[in-house]
Amino acid sequence: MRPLRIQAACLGTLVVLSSAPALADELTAFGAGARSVGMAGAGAALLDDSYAVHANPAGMAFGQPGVSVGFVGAVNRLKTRLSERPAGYDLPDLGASSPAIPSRYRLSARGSQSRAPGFSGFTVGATISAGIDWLRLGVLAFIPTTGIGNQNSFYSDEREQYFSNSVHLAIYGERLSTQQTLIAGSVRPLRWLSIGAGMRFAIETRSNNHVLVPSQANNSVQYIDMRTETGVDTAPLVSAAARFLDDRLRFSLTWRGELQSSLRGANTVQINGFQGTPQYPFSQPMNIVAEHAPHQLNLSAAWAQGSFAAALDTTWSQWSGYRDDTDRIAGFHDTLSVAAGVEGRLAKRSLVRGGIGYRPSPVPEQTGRTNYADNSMWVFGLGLSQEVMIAGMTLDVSAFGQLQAAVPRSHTKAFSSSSPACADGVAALCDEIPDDTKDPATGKTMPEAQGLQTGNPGFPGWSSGGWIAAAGVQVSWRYR
Amino acid sequence: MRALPLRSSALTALACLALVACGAPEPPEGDYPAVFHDAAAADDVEAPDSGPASDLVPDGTWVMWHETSTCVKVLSIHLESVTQTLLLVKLQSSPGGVVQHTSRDCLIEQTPIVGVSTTIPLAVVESIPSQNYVAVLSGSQPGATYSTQRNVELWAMNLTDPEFEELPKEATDPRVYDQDNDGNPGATLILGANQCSMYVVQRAIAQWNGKVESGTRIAGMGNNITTQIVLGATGGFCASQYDTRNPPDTARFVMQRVDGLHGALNLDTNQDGEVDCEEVRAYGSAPFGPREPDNARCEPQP
Repeated sequence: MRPLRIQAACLGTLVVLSSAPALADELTAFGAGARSVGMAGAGAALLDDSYAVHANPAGMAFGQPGVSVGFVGAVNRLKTRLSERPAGYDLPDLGASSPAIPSRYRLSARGSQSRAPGFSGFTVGATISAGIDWLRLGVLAFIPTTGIGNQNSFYSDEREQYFSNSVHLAIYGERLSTQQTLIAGSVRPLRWLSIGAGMRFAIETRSNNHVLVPSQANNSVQYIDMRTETGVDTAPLVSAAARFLDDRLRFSLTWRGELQSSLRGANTVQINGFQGTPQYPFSQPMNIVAEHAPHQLNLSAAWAQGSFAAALDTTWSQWSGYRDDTDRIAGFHDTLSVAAGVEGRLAKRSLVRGGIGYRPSPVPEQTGRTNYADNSMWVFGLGLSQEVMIAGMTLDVSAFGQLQAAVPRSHTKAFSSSSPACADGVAALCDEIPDDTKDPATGKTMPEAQGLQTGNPGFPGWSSGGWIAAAGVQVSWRYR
Repeated sequence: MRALPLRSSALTALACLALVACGAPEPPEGDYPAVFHDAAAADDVEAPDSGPASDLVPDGTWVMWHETSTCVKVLSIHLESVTQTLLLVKLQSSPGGVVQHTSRDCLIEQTPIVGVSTTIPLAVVESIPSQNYVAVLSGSQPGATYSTQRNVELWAMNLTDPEFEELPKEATDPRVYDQDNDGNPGATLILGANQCSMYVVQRAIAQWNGKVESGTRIAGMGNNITTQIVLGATGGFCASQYDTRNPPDTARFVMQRVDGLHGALNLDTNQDGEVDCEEVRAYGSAPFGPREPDNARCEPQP
């Protein structure tokens, strides 16, 4: 019997490794499912339904198969506030010889988009046993109501002045509303031990376009041959779960691999009038990382007795490998977050649960060129479950909520009397109009170029804080 | 199974406390002091009312620079003097591509002839009556044509027919007036290092044809005829009436927008909201690339 189980384990692993779709930032930030969200993200070792696909795939093999649907929405009141700019640092108007577009021509007022958006979406999950008691296959998806396949990016430095002209939240911004799909399988080779593996997927876009600008006199006219392929990037999920003392003492260890949602490619641009020059046609490469989920290792311990359960989770996140929207290592720190939760019976068919957690920010002080906004978060969860009998079926109806309160934080750009010129590799706040900029007519340096000129939205400083609250409902049905 | 009383209310209270405490704090003041070398300071908080545009929008303040050639015959030798003129021009669009021009002379400089330069004092330049004329623009994009009407500029005289009337020859002619208010008839020019002064009247007729080069620049060529009559002088060769002519196809001009709008240079260095002649003179002719005199241009054609 044991060789058969091992073969099935290998087969299940192969199936999930070769399957298709997504990403887990909404699930990672708040927890997967009513139970986890209500316990502030804790309780991976307790999960044995479709939400275990994200938190602890091995746990599926301990639970009954079932299906689950839910809806979750979030109000995001996290925001950044920009310090008032001192006079004298704007980009001057040097006419045609300006190395950069003068400050007065910004399309967006500074700081006008300093609040992060909320999100809402549906969760759908299911596990099956295929008639085999020790085998489970599961799938879980988060489908945002704002659309599937969102890919957003921002520059973290002075370049963002030309676009939103603001400082954006690095982790709790637009990326929370990304569509996510995960699949996993698990086997239980021993009565007390289960192993699971799976895959999560992110949108990966490759776009190579050919553009013709027929006249420099009218840049609004362009002809485009577009070549865009949308595929998926994948990251593995592996976990092991063990239960002792008649299943009362439970442990799980889960590794979620690094995942990116990217847009890569290039535009090849022909501009009439530049033919015959060495740079013709122009190549404009694109390397945008719209999402980056780091490697994570979650260790969960739980005690479950009857309808009472308590859990303690700790998660290590390798943020040091985080690549920002422009595909650069952002210089974040690895973090260790913790969460604890309990649940118990409130009435005959009702459970209540709650939890508290703390997620330290991986983002260091932003004293230089970049403006990554992120805060350490206190996490508070609360949830209710009610068993309901419908047509002979027992449904579990849950409501849940989670509040994440940001620890207020401020950043000030480090003062320097001689700022370096902006260039690749420069980490300090940089001068966008170098002091040696010369008037092409006279060959003389320009007085307007002396000193620091910067339109960096985060100059001379900024603060961030606020809160984000998520709430939802979920209906689950266990079958055999 | 036993029910477990949980202190959810305590968690809720904790969450509420956190909500009150966790708003984004007042942002820091920053470590950078204000400096005041930047005319565009404090403009950054507001979105512009007009963004950068490649199309030319005429309405606004421009500088016109033109360069004309004058050939002077001295002792059978033909010499060229190049005149650089800077004018402050207000443009106003009318229907049909017609653009109204109101121009003021700000600076006129001439290259010396045989080492002697003619200085046109600012008192003369700034007392030249402003000119009103029109031009027609065929479009607003680079490559569009620009053509002015014939523009007549008179110094120190009033003519019934400015373009064709014969010029006064005598200082006592009632059409002559003391333009620069120096007590002498006509306009007073100075030769050399104040070697002598000459009292003149002058008529300059010009017509310019060019093309739009960008949203802030028009450039091209022109035709000009300048006639100067010496009414009197303090002595020396200032009293001489030289044989002069303007060779064809040698005049050129540039119109440069200078009010800081639509991506233009802003010459309003004193930030009083208007560009004036002093600011135009500070900018000078050098950015327009003036040329050196070339006597070969004045050789008589076979």
